[in-house]
Amino acid sequence: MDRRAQLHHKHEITGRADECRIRAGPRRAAASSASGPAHGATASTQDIGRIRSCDADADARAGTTIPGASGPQPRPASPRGVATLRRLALAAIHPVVLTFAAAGYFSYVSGDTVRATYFAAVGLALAWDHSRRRTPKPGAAAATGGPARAPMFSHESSDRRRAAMRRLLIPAALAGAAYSVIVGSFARYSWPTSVAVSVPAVAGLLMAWRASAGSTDKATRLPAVGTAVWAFVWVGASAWELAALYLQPSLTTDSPAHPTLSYLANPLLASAPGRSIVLFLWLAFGWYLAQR
Amino acid sequence: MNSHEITIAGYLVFLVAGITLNLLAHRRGSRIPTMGAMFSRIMHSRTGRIAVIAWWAWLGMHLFSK
Repeated sequence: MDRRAQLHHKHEITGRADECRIRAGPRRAAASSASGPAHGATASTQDIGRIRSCDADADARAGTTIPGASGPQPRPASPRGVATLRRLALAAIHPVVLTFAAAGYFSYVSGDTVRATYFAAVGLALAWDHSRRRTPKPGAAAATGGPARAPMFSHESSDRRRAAMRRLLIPAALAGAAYSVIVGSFARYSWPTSVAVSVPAVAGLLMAWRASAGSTDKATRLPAVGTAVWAFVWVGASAWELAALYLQPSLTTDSPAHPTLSYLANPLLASAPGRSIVLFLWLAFGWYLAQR
Repeated sequence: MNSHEITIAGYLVFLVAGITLNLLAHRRGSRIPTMGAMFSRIMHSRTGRIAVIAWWAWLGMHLFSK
């Protein structure tokens, strides 16, 4: 190869290495720039191997191959499906995800397959989200070339959301009251009630997912002692309810001797006005939570 | 006191404890966070936010849905 051809070959490799670094993100870029051709006079065998690896990745995505690029790979990529499953399994080891899994299991053994599916779906969605965030793609936002979007969960965006909700408070309260009266007139555990209650529930979940898409601000630190006292009250109340549930003759049979909260609510929910009041309070609590 | 009354008394104890804590939290210089601050802290992350809203959604479905 003459001098001109060598220079052309070197520039081509350097350019492709830079492209590869941009695609691979800053972590690999730092690793490759430490020994890459930008710091050396000639492209090393290691650089060529890395570029071939990069090209092989690209080819695998595009479904094409470059002749002569089938040399020894420095580090063979693991199958994407296996890697995704591994990340998903690791992300499932999270207290909240495990809580949803446990709730799904107990719903299933209670014969409540609908709620078991609901808990499993939410738990899987959270595990999937966790696994995605465990492998961030720093260059992804810049690569889109679109206008930078404000994070949806910054203090600024939270303030905007709260301001919008304050403006909508009166129409929302009127709509909520109308909804509560109409749905409260339906029989409890009927299909119309089930569908009508599922609509705000699913909407709330979707909005929560969207509102927390890009949390960037650091959370406010709360006093440890006060937080522990609150945790004691919430965990204690939950344990008390669970104890009452498990002291029933079975998970599906109510017991007046060990009443659960839903058992105590039965007399109130037996009448249409009672159902309307509870529905309105449920919606109001959801509104309160959405403002957090 | 029978078990029915003991169970209800337990619920009332936790309810009163929660209301008292929230009242104490609103005092100036209190080291107890308000319930709203607790929810805000929990719901700061996506996981916490989804968990709380999923619990709220479950509550409605548990009381009314099939």
